[in-house]
Amino acid sequence: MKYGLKPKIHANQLSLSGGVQAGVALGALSVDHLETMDDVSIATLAMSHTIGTMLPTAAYFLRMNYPPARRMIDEGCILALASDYNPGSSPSGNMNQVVSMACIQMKMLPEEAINAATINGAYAMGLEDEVGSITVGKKANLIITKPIPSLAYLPYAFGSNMIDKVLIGGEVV
Amino acid sequence: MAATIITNIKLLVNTRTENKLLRGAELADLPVIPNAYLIIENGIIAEYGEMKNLPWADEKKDTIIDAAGQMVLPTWVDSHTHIVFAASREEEFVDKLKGLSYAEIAARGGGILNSAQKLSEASEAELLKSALGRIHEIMQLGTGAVEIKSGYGLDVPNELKMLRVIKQLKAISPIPVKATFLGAHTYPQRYKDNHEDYLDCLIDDMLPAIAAEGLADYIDVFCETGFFSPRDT
Repeated sequence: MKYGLKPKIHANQLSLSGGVQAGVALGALSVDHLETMDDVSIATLAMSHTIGTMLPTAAYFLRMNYPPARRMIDEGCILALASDYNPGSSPSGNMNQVVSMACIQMKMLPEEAINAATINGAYAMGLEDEVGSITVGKKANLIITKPIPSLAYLPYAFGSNMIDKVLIGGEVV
Repeated sequence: MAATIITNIKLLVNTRTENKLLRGAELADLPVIPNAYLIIENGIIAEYGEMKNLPWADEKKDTIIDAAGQMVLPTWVDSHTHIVFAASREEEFVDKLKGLSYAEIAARGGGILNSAQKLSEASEAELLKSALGRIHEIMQLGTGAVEIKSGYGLDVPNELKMLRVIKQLKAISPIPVKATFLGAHTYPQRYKDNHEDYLDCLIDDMLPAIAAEGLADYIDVFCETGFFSPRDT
């Protein structure tokens, strides 16, 4: 902290570790994982300005319970979604799959999952002024989908590639 | 000025005039504009709105992308990854299928320590090349910003090596990158029975070196039973 590094803490993945409470007490930007949450840790997170970042593809790969997203939303937590892309517990960086899994397994609404994976995710890495929404002045980092019947089709059609083009800084990549 | 104009967007998703961190029920509020256009200038979102309000476009000068039937979203923001690593670990995946637990694999020197061993053998150039490949992979999947953690180094030279790779990625990656120091990912083998000394190493040796080179934006601790306690954190 004395070096000006804001904490982002791995918490409550494998056990009721007290990590959420420790992170909140340190004023962490985010506490990440949250597969194992009890009433106290949910209430602590809900009362705080710390973002709870959920990593459903890691829970899937490790065959763990998913974070209790619905309860955390109902209690007033701030939530984000991320991939945890790593060789041991989430060898996938596919955020489309993360969003699908948040809906299918954690019962987040498509709107909730999209917000958690865009604007709230941007806050969780201090980039809310550059990315995370369609806002004048932000980077033109955009997904153009294939023709789809509705927004809910994106998480619904898990496993299908529904992306036609990706623009980064306005250029097709 | 030449612009890129996306026209006939079936639904423009997550349009916000002001930033807002969304809490609880607010998360379900996703603003959209049906039948929309969006104008890009110098890589930045310059303007957007309903198609009926589209200003005059110079079809000779501007690039037009007709998105009829298609939707436009902001790219995904991936705020938690560990994409600087030396090798995949599918052999452990198979071990797990055969019944070994995460803790058992960790106790055998697998898991994070396996990644640490392989990372210590890899050069900065090799790590940079493979991590950049992963950034291009996730860009194709719609990710437009990524946070990357260290934590496979677990000693001063290798944590610094990882963070220097992330610093180079920041300079060359097409998408924004943020660096998080995760020296406290697990206890290295030689500190297995002497956790206090590793915490001292983190605080007295690694952190000052990282701060001196400006290598990290954030700090992370793996706060779990059997790893780092809330008090350590």
